[in-house]
Amino acid sequence: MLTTNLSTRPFYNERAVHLVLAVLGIAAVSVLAVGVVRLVDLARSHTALTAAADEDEREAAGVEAQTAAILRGIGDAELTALRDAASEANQLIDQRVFSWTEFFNRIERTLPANVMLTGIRPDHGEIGVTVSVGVIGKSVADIDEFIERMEATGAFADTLARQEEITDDGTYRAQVLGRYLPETGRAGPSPDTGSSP
Amino acid sequence: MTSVTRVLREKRFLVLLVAAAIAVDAGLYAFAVYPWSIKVRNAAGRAERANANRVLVQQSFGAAQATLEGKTQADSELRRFYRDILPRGLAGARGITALRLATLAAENHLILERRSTARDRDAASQLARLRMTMLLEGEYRNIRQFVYALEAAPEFIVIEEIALNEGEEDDSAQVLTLGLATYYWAELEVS
Repeated sequence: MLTTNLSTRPFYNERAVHLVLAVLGIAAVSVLAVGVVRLVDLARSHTALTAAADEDEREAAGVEAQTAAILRGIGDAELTALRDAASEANQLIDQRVFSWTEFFNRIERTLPANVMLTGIRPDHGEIGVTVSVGVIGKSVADIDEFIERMEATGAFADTLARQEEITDDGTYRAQVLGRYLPETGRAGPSPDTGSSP
Repeated sequence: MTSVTRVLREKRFLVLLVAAAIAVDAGLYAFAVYPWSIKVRNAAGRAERANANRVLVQQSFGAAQATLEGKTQADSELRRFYRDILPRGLAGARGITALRLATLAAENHLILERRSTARDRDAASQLARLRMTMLLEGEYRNIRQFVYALEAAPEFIVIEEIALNEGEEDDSAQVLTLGLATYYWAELEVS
Protein backbone atom coordinates (compact mmCIF):
# COMPACT_ATOMS: atom_id res chain seq x y z
CA MET A 1 0.00 0.00 0.00
CA LEU A 2 1.36 3.39 -1.04
CA THR A 3 1.46 6.00 1.72
CA THR A 4 3.01 8.78 -0.36
CA ASN A 5 0.79 11.20 -2.33
CA LEU A 6 2.04 11.13 -5.87
CA SER A 7 -0.52 13.56 -7.34
CA THR A 8 0.81 16.81 -8.85
CA ARG A 9 -2.27 18.52 -7.64
CA PRO A 10 -2.80 17.32 -4.13
CA PHE A 11 -6.22 17.86 -2.57
CA TYR A 12 -6.71 20.74 -0.18
CA ASN A 13 -9.43 21.28 2.34
CA GLU A 14 -12.01 22.97 0.16
CA ARG A 15 -14.56 23.07 2.94
CA ALA A 16 -12.18 25.16 5.06
CA VAL A 17 -11.56 27.54 2.14
CA HIS A 18 -15.28 27.93 1.55
CA LEU A 19 -15.78 28.52 5.26
CA VAL A 20 -13.13 31.23 5.35
CA LEU A 21 -14.54 32.90 2.25
CA ALA A 22 -18.08 32.66 3.61
CA VAL A 23 -17.02 34.17 6.93
CA LEU A 24 -15.20 36.96 5.15
CA GLY A 25 -18.14 37.52 2.84
CA ILE A 26 -20.67 37.60 5.68
CA ALA A 27 -18.40 39.96 7.65
CA ALA A 28 -18.03 42.26 4.66
CA VAL A 29 -21.76 42.33 4.03
CA SER A 30 -22.41 42.94 7.74
CA VAL A 31 -19.91 45.81 7.81
CA LEU A 32 -21.58 47.17 4.68
CA ALA A 33 -24.99 46.97 6.31
CA VAL A 34 -23.70 48.69 9.46
CA GLY A 35 -22.04 51.34 7.32
CA VAL A 36 -25.24 52.01 5.39
CA VAL A 37 -27.25 52.25 8.61
CA ARG A 38 -24.61 54.56 10.09
CA LEU A 39 -24.67 56.68 6.95
CA VAL A 40 -28.45 56.99 7.10
CA ASP A 41 -28.17 57.92 10.79
CA LEU A 42 -25.53 60.52 10.04
CA ALA A 43 -27.61 62.00 7.26
CA ARG A 44 -30.63 62.22 9.55
CA SER A 45 -28.56 63.76 12.37
CA HIS A 46 -27.06 66.25 9.95
CA THR A 47 -30.47 67.26 8.69
CA ALA A 48 -31.82 67.60 12.23
CA LEU A 49 -28.80 69.55 13.51
CA THR A 50 -28.76 71.86 10.51
CA ALA A 51 -32.47 72.48 10.89
CA ALA A 52 -32.05 73.19 14.62
CA ALA A 53 -29.13 75.54 13.94
CA ASP A 54 -31.10 77.31 11.20
CA GLU A 55 -34.06 77.66 13.53
CA ASP A 56 -31.90 78.97 16.40
CA GLU A 57 -30.11 81.42 14.10
CA ARG A 58 -33.39 82.64 12.66
CA GLU A 59 -34.90 83.05 16.11
CA ALA A 60 -31.76 84.77 17.43
CA ALA A 61 -31.79 87.19 14.50
CA GLY A 62 -35.46 88.00 15.15
CA VAL A 63 -34.93 88.49 18.89
CA GLU A 64 -31.80 90.55 18.21
CA ALA A 65 -33.79 92.84 15.93
CA GLN A 66 -36.47 93.21 18.61
CA THR A 67 -33.82 93.97 21.24
CA ALA A 68 -32.22 96.58 19.01
CA ALA A 69 -35.63 98.16 18.40
CA ILE A 70 -36.32 98.31 22.15
CA LEU A 71 -32.90 99.80 22.89
CA ARG A 72 -33.33 102.33 20.07
CA GLY A 73 -36.68 103.25 21.58
CA ILE A 74 -35.20 103.76 25.03
CA GLY A 75 -32.25 105.85 23.95
CA ASP A 76 -29.12 106.31 26.04
CA ALA A 77 -29.58 110.01 26.64
CA GLU A 78 -33.18 109.55 27.73
CA LEU A 79 -32.21 106.71 30.04
CA THR A 80 -29.41 108.75 31.60
CA ALA A 81 -31.76 111.69 32.14
CA LEU A 82 -34.35 109.39 33.71
CA ARG A 83 -31.71 107.81 35.97
CA ASP A 84 -30.55 111.25 37.09
CA ALA A 85 -34.12 112.41 37.70
CA ALA A 86 -34.91 109.25 39.69
CA SER A 87 -31.73 109.68 41.71
CA GLU A 88 -32.64 113.30 42.42
CA ALA A 89 -36.19 112.33 43.42
CA ASN A 90 -34.91 109.60 45.74
CA GLN A 91 -32.52 112.04 47.34
CA LEU A 92 -35.35 114.52 47.92
CA ILE A 93 -37.52 111.78 49.41
CA ASP A 94 -34.62 110.78 51.69
CA GLN A 95 -34.37 114.40 52.82
CA ARG A 96 -38.11 114.61 53.37
CA VAL A 97 -38.31 111.42 55.45
CA PHE A 98 -35.26 112.36 57.51
CA SER A 99 -36.56 112.42 61.07
CA TRP A 100 -35.33 115.54 62.80
CA THR A 101 -37.29 114.58 65.89
CA GLU A 102 -35.45 111.28 66.16
CA PHE A 103 -32.20 113.11 65.49
CA PHE A 104 -32.90 115.67 68.23
CA ASN A 105 -33.80 112.85 70.64
CA ARG A 106 -30.45 111.20 70.02
CA ILE A 107 -28.49 114.44 70.33
CA GLU A 108 -30.25 115.42 73.54
CA ARG A 109 -29.36 112.07 75.10
CA THR A 110 -25.72 112.45 74.18
CA LEU A 111 -25.15 116.13 74.95
CA PRO A 112 -23.07 116.61 78.09
CA ALA A 113 -24.26 119.32 80.50
CA ASN A 114 -21.59 121.76 79.38
CA VAL A 115 -22.26 121.47 75.67
CA MET A 116 -24.90 123.39 73.75
CA LEU A 117 -26.24 122.63 70.31
CA THR A 118 -25.98 125.51 67.83
CA GLY A 119 -26.69 124.04 64.45
CA ILE A 120 -27.39 120.92 62.43
CA ARG A 121 -27.01 120.35 58.74
CA PRO A 122 -27.55 116.92 57.22
CA ASP A 123 -26.12 116.15 53.81
CA HIS A 124 -27.83 113.33 51.93
CA GLY A 125 -25.30 111.76 49.62
CA GLU A 126 -24.91 108.44 47.87
CA ILE A 127 -23.07 106.87 50.79
CA GLY A 128 -25.78 107.91 53.28
CA VAL A 129 -26.35 110.87 55.55
CA THR A 130 -23.46 112.97 56.76
CA VAL A 131 -24.34 115.42 59.51
CA SER A 132 -22.57 118.55 60.51
CA VAL A 133 -23.41 119.44 64.10
CA GLY A 134 -22.42 122.81 65.53
CA VAL A 135 -21.85 122.90 69.29
CA ILE A 136 -20.48 125.20 71.95
CA GLY A 137 -18.74 123.61 74.92
CA LYS A 138 -17.12 124.93 78.05
CA SER A 139 -13.94 123.03 77.20
CA VAL A 140 -12.47 120.93 74.44
CA ALA A 141 -12.83 117.92 76.75
CA ASP A 142 -16.61 118.47 76.87
CA ILE A 143 -16.77 118.47 73.09
CA ASP A 144 -14.68 115.29 72.95
CA GLU A 145 -17.02 113.68 75.46
CA PHE A 146 -19.96 114.63 73.24
CA ILE A 147 -18.29 112.99 70.25
CA GLU A 148 -17.61 109.81 72.24
CA ARG A 149 -21.17 109.67 73.47
CA MET A 150 -22.46 110.17 69.92
CA GLU A 151 -20.45 107.22 68.64
CA ALA A 152 -21.45 105.10 71.64
CA THR A 153 -25.10 105.23 70.52
CA GLY A 154 -24.15 103.37 67.34
CA ALA A 155 -26.07 105.90 65.27
CA PHE A 156 -22.97 107.94 64.41
CA ALA A 157 -19.74 106.81 62.83
CA ASP A 158 -16.49 108.39 61.66
CA THR A 159 -17.23 111.40 63.85
CA LEU A 160 -14.68 114.17 63.90
CA ALA A 161 -14.46 117.69 65.27
CA ARG A 162 -13.39 119.40 62.08
CA GLN A 163 -12.94 122.79 63.59
CA GLU A 164 -12.65 123.98 67.20
CA GLU A 165 -12.04 127.54 68.23
CA ILE A 166 -12.24 129.58 71.37
CA THR A 167 -14.91 132.27 71.50
CA ASP A 168 -14.88 135.71 73.13
CA ASP A 169 -16.51 134.39 76.30
CA GLY A 170 -13.91 131.61 76.73
CA THR A 171 -16.09 128.75 75.54
CA TYR A 172 -15.20 126.56 72.56
CA ARG A 173 -17.15 126.47 69.34
CA ALA A 174 -16.84 123.28 67.28
CA GLN A 175 -18.15 121.83 64.07
CA VAL A 176 -18.59 118.07 64.43
CA LEU A 177 -18.90 116.03 61.28
CA GLY A 178 -19.93 112.39 61.10
CA ARG A 179 -21.95 109.76 59.30
CA TYR A 180 -25.47 109.31 60.63
CA LEU A 181 -26.82 105.76 60.68
CA PRO A 182 -30.35 106.05 62.09
CA GLU A 183 -31.23 102.39 61.46
CA THR A 184 -28.42 101.08 63.66
CA GLY A 185 -28.87 103.26 66.73
CA ARG A 186 -31.49 103.38 69.46
CA ALA A 187 -33.98 106.23 69.20
CA GLY A 188 -37.28 107.45 70.51
CA PRO A 189 -40.13 107.92 68.02
CA SER A 190 -41.88 111.00 69.46
CA PRO A 191 -40.46 114.40 70.28
CA ASP A 192 -38.88 114.53 73.70
CA THR A 193 -39.55 118.20 74.35
CA GLY A 194 -37.99 118.31 77.80
CA SER A 195 -34.95 120.44 78.28
CA SER A 196 -33.11 122.80 76.06
CA PRO A 197 -29.83 121.32 74.69
CA MET B 1 2.73 26.98 -7.10
CA THR B 2 1.82 27.38 -3.50
CA SER B 3 -1.50 26.21 -2.25
CA VAL B 4 -2.65 29.78 -1.48
CA THR B 5 -2.07 30.88 -5.06
CA ARG B 6 -3.83 27.81 -6.23
CA VAL B 7 -6.81 28.47 -3.97
CA LEU B 8 -6.97 32.07 -5.13
CA ARG B 9 -6.92 31.02 -8.72
CA GLU B 10 -9.39 28.24 -8.35
CA LYS B 11 -11.80 30.24 -6.17
CA ARG B 12 -11.27 33.46 -8.11
CA PHE B 13 -14.93 34.34 -8.39
CA LEU B 14 -15.63 33.90 -4.69
CA VAL B 15 -12.44 35.65 -3.71
CA LEU B 16 -13.22 38.56 -6.00
CA LEU B 17 -16.71 38.74 -4.62
CA VAL B 18 -15.40 38.95 -1.06
CA ALA B 19 -12.66 41.39 -2.09
CA ALA B 20 -15.24 43.55 -3.85
CA ALA B 21 -17.42 43.56 -0.75
CA ILE B 22 -14.45 44.59 1.40
CA ALA B 23 -13.52 47.29 -1.15
CA VAL B 24 -17.08 48.60 -1.13
CA ASP B 25 -16.92 48.66 2.68
CA ALA B 26 -13.66 50.59 2.61
CA GLY B 27 -15.03 52.98 0.02
CA LEU B 28 -18.23 53.49 1.98
CA TYR B 29 -16.33 54.36 5.15
CA ALA B 30 -13.67 56.43 3.43
CA PHE B 31 -15.86 58.41 1.08
CA ALA B 32 -19.25 58.51 2.81
CA VAL B 33 -19.30 57.62 6.50
CA TYR B 34 -16.13 59.51 7.46
CA PRO B 35 -16.96 62.76 5.58
CA TRP B 36 -20.51 62.65 6.90
CA SER B 37 -19.18 62.13 10.44
CA ILE B 38 -17.15 65.30 10.04
CA LYS B 39 -20.16 67.11 8.58
CA VAL B 40 -22.32 66.01 11.49
CA ARG B 41 -19.63 67.05 14.00
CA ASN B 42 -19.47 70.48 12.37
CA ALA B 43 -23.25 70.71 12.26
CA ALA B 44 -23.39 69.79 15.96
CA GLY B 45 -20.86 72.52 16.72
CA ARG B 46 -22.84 75.02 14.71
CA ALA B 47 -26.09 73.96 16.37
CA GLU B 48 -24.47 74.29 19.80
CA ARG B 49 -23.13 77.76 19.00
CA ALA B 50 -26.45 78.83 17.52
CA ASN B 51 -28.26 77.58 20.62
CA ALA B 52 -25.83 79.35 22.97
CA ASN B 53 -26.13 82.53 20.92
CA ARG B 54 -29.94 82.27 20.96
CA VAL B 55 -29.87 81.93 24.76
CA LEU B 56 -27.57 84.98 25.02
CA VAL B 57 -29.73 87.00 22.66
CA GLN B 58 -32.84 86.02 24.60
CA GLN B 59 -31.13 87.11 27.83
CA SER B 60 -30.26 90.45 26.23
CA PHE B 61 -33.85 90.75 25.07
CA GLY B 62 -35.06 90.00 28.62
CA ALA B 63 -32.69 92.62 30.00
CA ALA B 64 -33.82 95.18 27.39
CA GLN B 65 -37.46 94.43 28.18
CA ALA B 66 -36.75 94.75 31.91
CA THR B 67 -35.02 98.07 31.23
CA LEU B 68 -38.00 99.23 29.18
CA GLU B 69 -40.44 98.15 31.88
CA GLY B 70 -38.27 99.73 34.56
CA LYS B 71 -38.04 102.90 32.52
CA THR B 72 -41.79 103.01 31.98
CA GLN B 73 -42.44 102.40 35.65
CA ALA B 74 -39.80 104.90 36.78
CA ASP B 75 -41.17 107.43 34.32
CA SER B 76 -44.70 106.97 35.61
CA GLU B 77 -43.59 107.13 39.26
CA LEU B 78 -41.54 110.24 38.56
CA ARG B 79 -44.52 111.91 36.90
CA ARG B 80 -46.68 110.97 39.87
CA PHE B 81 -44.01 112.37 42.21
CA TYR B 82 -43.82 115.63 40.23
CA ARG B 83 -47.57 116.07 39.87
CA ASP B 84 -49.04 114.57 43.06
CA ILE B 85 -46.35 114.81 45.73
CA LEU B 86 -44.55 118.01 44.85
CA PRO B 87 -46.40 121.33 44.75
CA ARG B 88 -47.62 122.40 41.32
CA GLY B 89 -45.48 125.21 40.06
CA LEU B 90 -44.22 128.24 41.93
CA ALA B 91 -47.73 129.16 43.02
CA GLY B 92 -48.19 125.77 44.63
CA ALA B 93 -44.80 125.95 46.30
CA ARG B 94 -45.57 129.41 47.63
CA GLY B 95 -48.95 128.15 48.81
CA ILE B 96 -47.55 125.38 50.98
CA THR B 97 -44.78 127.51 52.48
CA ALA B 98 -45.78 131.13 52.95
CA LEU B 99 -48.98 131.09 54.96
CA ARG B 100 -48.76 127.47 56.06
CA LEU B 101 -45.41 127.86 57.84
CA ALA B 102 -46.41 131.11 59.51
CA THR B 103 -49.60 129.44 60.79
CA LEU B 104 -47.67 126.41 62.00
CA ALA B 105 -45.23 128.68 63.86
CA ALA B 106 -48.06 130.57 65.51
CA GLU B 107 -49.81 127.32 66.47
CA ASN B 108 -46.63 126.27 68.25
CA HIS B 109 -46.22 129.61 70.04
CA LEU B 110 -43.22 130.71 68.06
CA ILE B 111 -42.68 134.26 66.93
CA LEU B 112 -41.76 134.64 63.30
CA GLU B 113 -39.09 137.32 63.41
CA ARG B 114 -37.86 137.26 59.86
CA ARG B 115 -38.33 135.31 56.72
CA SER B 116 -36.63 135.35 53.35
CA THR B 117 -37.45 133.41 50.20
CA ALA B 118 -35.49 132.71 47.05
CA ARG B 119 -35.81 130.33 44.17
CA ASP B 120 -33.14 128.62 42.17
CA ARG B 121 -32.72 125.82 39.74
CA ASP B 122 -29.93 123.44 38.90
CA ALA B 123 -29.38 123.48 35.13
CA ALA B 124 -29.25 119.69 35.01
CA SER B 125 -32.49 119.25 36.94
CA GLN B 126 -36.12 119.44 35.89
CA LEU B 127 -36.99 120.71 39.34
CA ALA B 128 -36.86 124.22 40.65
CA ARG B 129 -36.32 124.89 44.35
CA LEU B 130 -38.03 127.44 46.52
CA ARG B 131 -35.82 128.09 49.54
CA MET B 132 -36.96 129.81 52.65
CA THR B 133 -35.05 130.91 55.72
CA MET B 134 -37.15 131.48 58.81
CA LEU B 135 -36.04 133.10 62.03
CA LEU B 136 -38.30 131.95 64.84
CA GLU B 137 -38.14 132.73 68.52
CA GLY B 138 -39.64 130.70 71.31
CA GLU B 139 -39.09 128.06 73.91
CA TYR B 140 -37.09 125.02 73.04
CA ARG B 141 -39.98 122.59 73.55
CA ASN B 142 -42.12 124.66 71.19
CA ILE B 143 -39.35 124.62 68.63
CA ARG B 144 -39.27 120.81 68.92
CA GLN B 145 -43.05 120.65 68.50
CA PHE B 146 -42.85 122.91 65.47
CA VAL B 147 -40.20 120.70 63.86
CA TYR B 148 -42.28 117.60 64.63
CA ALA B 149 -45.41 119.19 63.16
CA LEU B 150 -43.46 120.13 60.03
CA GLU B 151 -42.19 116.57 59.69
CA ALA B 152 -45.66 115.11 60.12
CA ALA B 153 -47.28 117.56 57.69
CA PRO B 154 -48.36 116.18 54.32
CA GLU B 155 -46.70 118.98 52.37
CA PHE B 156 -43.38 118.28 50.69
CA ILE B 157 -41.18 120.63 52.70
CA VAL B 158 -37.60 119.68 53.43
CA ILE B 159 -35.74 121.03 56.43
CA GLU B 160 -32.27 121.64 55.10
CA GLU B 161 -30.62 123.25 58.07
CA ILE B 162 -31.29 124.19 61.64
CA ALA B 163 -29.39 126.72 63.72
CA LEU B 164 -30.10 127.48 67.38
CA ASN B 165 -29.10 130.56 69.36
CA GLU B 166 -29.92 131.87 72.78
CA GLY B 167 -32.62 134.53 72.81
CA GLU B 168 -31.46 138.02 73.65
CA GLU B 169 -34.27 139.12 75.94
CA ASP B 170 -35.62 135.98 77.57
CA ASP B 171 -33.29 133.31 79.05
CA SER B 172 -35.66 130.46 78.27
CA ALA B 173 -36.24 131.63 74.70
CA GLN B 174 -34.19 130.45 71.80
CA VAL B 175 -33.85 131.66 68.27
CA LEU B 176 -34.28 129.05 65.61
CA THR B 177 -32.96 129.71 62.14
CA LEU B 178 -34.57 127.21 59.83
CA GLY B 179 -33.46 126.56 56.28
CA LEU B 180 -36.41 125.08 54.40
CA ALA B 181 -36.97 124.13 50.82
CA THR B 182 -39.66 122.79 48.60
CA TYR B 183 -39.37 121.67 45.00
CA TYR B 184 -41.64 121.86 41.98
CA TRP B 185 -41.52 120.76 38.40
CA ALA B 186 -39.99 123.64 36.48
CA GLU B 187 -41.86 122.79 33.26
CA LEU B 188 -45.14 123.43 35.05
CA GLU B 189 -43.85 126.86 35.94
CA VAL B 190 -43.27 127.59 32.27
CA SER B 191 -46.62 126.20 31.10
